[in-house]
Amino acid sequence: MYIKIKYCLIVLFAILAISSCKQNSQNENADAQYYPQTLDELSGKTVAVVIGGKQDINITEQYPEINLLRLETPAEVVEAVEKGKAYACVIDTAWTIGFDLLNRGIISYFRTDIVNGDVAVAFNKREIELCQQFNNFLVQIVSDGTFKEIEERWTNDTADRVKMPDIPVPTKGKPLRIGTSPTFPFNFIQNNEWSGLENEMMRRFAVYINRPIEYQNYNFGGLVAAIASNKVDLAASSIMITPERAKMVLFSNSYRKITTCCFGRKFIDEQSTVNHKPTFKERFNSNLIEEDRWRLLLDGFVETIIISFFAILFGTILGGLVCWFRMRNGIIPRGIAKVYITILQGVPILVFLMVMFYLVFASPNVSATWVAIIAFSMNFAAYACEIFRTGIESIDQGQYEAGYVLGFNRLKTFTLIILPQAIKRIIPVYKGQVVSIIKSTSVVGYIAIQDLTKASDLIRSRTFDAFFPLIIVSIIYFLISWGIGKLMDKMVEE
Amino acid sequence: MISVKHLNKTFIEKGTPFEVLRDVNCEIEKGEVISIIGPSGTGKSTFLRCINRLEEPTSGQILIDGEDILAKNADLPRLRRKMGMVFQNFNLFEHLTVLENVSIGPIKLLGMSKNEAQAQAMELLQTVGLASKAQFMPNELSGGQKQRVAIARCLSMNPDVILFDEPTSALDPTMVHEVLTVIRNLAEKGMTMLIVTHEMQFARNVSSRVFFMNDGIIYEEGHPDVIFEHPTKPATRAFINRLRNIDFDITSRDFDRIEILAQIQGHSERYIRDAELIQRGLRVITLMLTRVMPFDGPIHLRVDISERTENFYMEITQHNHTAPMYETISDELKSEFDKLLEKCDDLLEGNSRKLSIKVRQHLPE
Repeated sequence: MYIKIKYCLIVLFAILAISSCKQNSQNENADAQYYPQTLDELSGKTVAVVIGGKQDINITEQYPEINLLRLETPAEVVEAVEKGKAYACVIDTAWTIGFDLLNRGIISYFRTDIVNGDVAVAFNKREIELCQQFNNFLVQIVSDGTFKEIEERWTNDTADRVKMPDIPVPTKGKPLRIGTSPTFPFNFIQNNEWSGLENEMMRRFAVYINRPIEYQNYNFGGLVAAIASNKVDLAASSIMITPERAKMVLFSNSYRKITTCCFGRKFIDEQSTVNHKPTFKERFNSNLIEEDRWRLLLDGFVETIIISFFAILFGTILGGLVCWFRMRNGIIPRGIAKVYITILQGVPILVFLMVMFYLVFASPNVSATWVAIIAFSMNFAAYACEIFRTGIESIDQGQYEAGYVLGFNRLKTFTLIILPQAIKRIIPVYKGQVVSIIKSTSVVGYIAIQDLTKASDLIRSRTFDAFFPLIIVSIIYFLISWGIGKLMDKMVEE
Repeated sequence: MISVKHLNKTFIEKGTPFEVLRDVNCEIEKGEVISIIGPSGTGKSTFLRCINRLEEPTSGQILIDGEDILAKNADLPRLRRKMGMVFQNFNLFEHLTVLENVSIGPIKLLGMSKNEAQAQAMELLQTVGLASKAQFMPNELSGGQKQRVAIARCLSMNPDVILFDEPTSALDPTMVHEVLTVIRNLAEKGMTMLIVTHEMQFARNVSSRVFFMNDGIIYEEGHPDVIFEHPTKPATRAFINRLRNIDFDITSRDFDRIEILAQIQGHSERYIRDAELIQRGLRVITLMLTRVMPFDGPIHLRVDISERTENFYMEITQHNHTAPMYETISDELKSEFDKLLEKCDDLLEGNSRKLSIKVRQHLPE
């Protein structure tokens, strides 16, 4: 048995090692010895942008000839260029601070004014007073020089070694719910704490209004929706003021201007001067050991386990109930069950999760974890119920009759005679469904839950290493699934 | 003990009602062994299953020791405990061992301790000869063994009466005997039993009374000697002396010859012990269907088997033909046929010709 795992792991590593060696054999090679100067020259090329960002919107409108590769975070955008998945990228210059672009063989091709805009904090439309308070606060820190100090601290190349000053944020009172999408150097995890330019600003603001803060981690594209549906009070995450966004949220005064640049790879011969590739040990250190990053993974692991466990538990109970409805004689309960199954099986789990989060449980009183547990339970139930039904219906009618004539009532016949036989038959399929639901919980990051997958995203956004966190996380998922499978086999034996 | 009054049962099949039981009445006393015989599809099993309400009767009254089992508030589980049932398909609990099958009822329903129930189960298994299989799973047993375990399971609840629903129909002929022996032993101990069966010899030897069911009613009942030797009513007489027939309508040139022969063989083996006679019968059919009368119009083939005399009859009818069939056979074939056939009537009836054959029981020396 253990030999089998060993082999699995070896094969997994081998595949990943091979793919990591090949990651520089690009498909989008830079044209020899020529760097483009304008966006027009990028026609027909693949260009990476942050999804939903202003660059995305404007390029789509004005340069339809450019193939856009829309990615979730600036880290992924830079990575795409480095790995040759995109010819170039167009992003906010400030977002590239600390990426060590030169070392990764990337240079700035040209500056573009495709996006010129002001960055502000976005508030829920109801929080007019809070927004006013923030504007006052902004005036104060700009005038007394604090803002300049913050800006200088975080926008130089040593930003990732900067230590966040000690700001005693209040711990009592109604927390200020802040949505963010982690982006170095504005919002990122350092020593397992949120830090960065915007984070420092928000901490100081929290002190200013004497309220504690609570961070929620969204994808950039989901931030405005999260504010509008009152999942957070505000978002401070380099959001640029646009008329479309202004319809949904309330913007404060601007605290930063955006300058956009187009970045791309240097020529191959120049790349030879690029520094050495990090060794396995260095990567291991930077991704797991430094700043105790493994703690992120551990927390994510716990979150994944909690959501999976309760989703399977409640989903099984609910599935049993739906199955009971489904097998009743009445047309109405059967109809309800059928509709339930059809809808839940027909809607992608991610879409269903977001519907539950943004529409059904729009009230801020339900934690995202609970929304995830409810959504996954309901999804699991739809499959579990059909599994149960198949198992129960496969039992011969004669088994019921034998129970009845012995003197068992319907309930006892079912629990003592039918159920044990049905369970034995459904276990293999049920096990598959359990493993599948555990894996599908990896999408909960979309509703600001930091599960295992999201933890790897966070690490990636700091270390810019796609390879290492993803391997670790896939191995952990594999071990969870494998372990659960073994556990269930053991339970059946007993 | 069991009193059945005006029992009716109507199935609705594809929208059309089908009367299975029409006004069945009977009284069953303690200690009686009643065999229920009759042609298939006449409601024997349905009647049995109505008594413990596995089937819901359409109307009527069934009293168990004076209690109406059809009453709305009847305590069904308790009443069913008084009546064991043995099924055609055994229906052993597949997830339990033989021992657990025989002890689950007493433990869960009679409040017996596990040890006590298992001791009783071992005793019962001893009486059906299967104590050595106590730890086996049902799927490791032969059909006959399964049925004996099912009887032991039934006895474990200490019932007042046992209902047997064709207990040997699903068994290989070699295993029928072991099950019948167990039932016979129960009869000798004075157990009250209702047995739906096709085993005529057994019914005759073991029963105290025989119900002949025909067309949804108890058509005739009486002492086995009377029913089997001197039945008073015509349908009973026909059944007892009867020819067990099996019919085929051959409507296409590409009919499934193998399927037909296999069915006839299976059917014959149930009633005829003489394997050679069956082989002879099948040979005649094969020759008739292939050599004598190639398909040129629908053929009706009927094979009759007399259970009592163990005779093998055959009747072949072909419509829209005006020449006798037997005369068209070549001389060479005819001599072969004459050896196999005891009697052969070839006649024309209006537009169709008909060949009736009786297969010889013993080959001429």
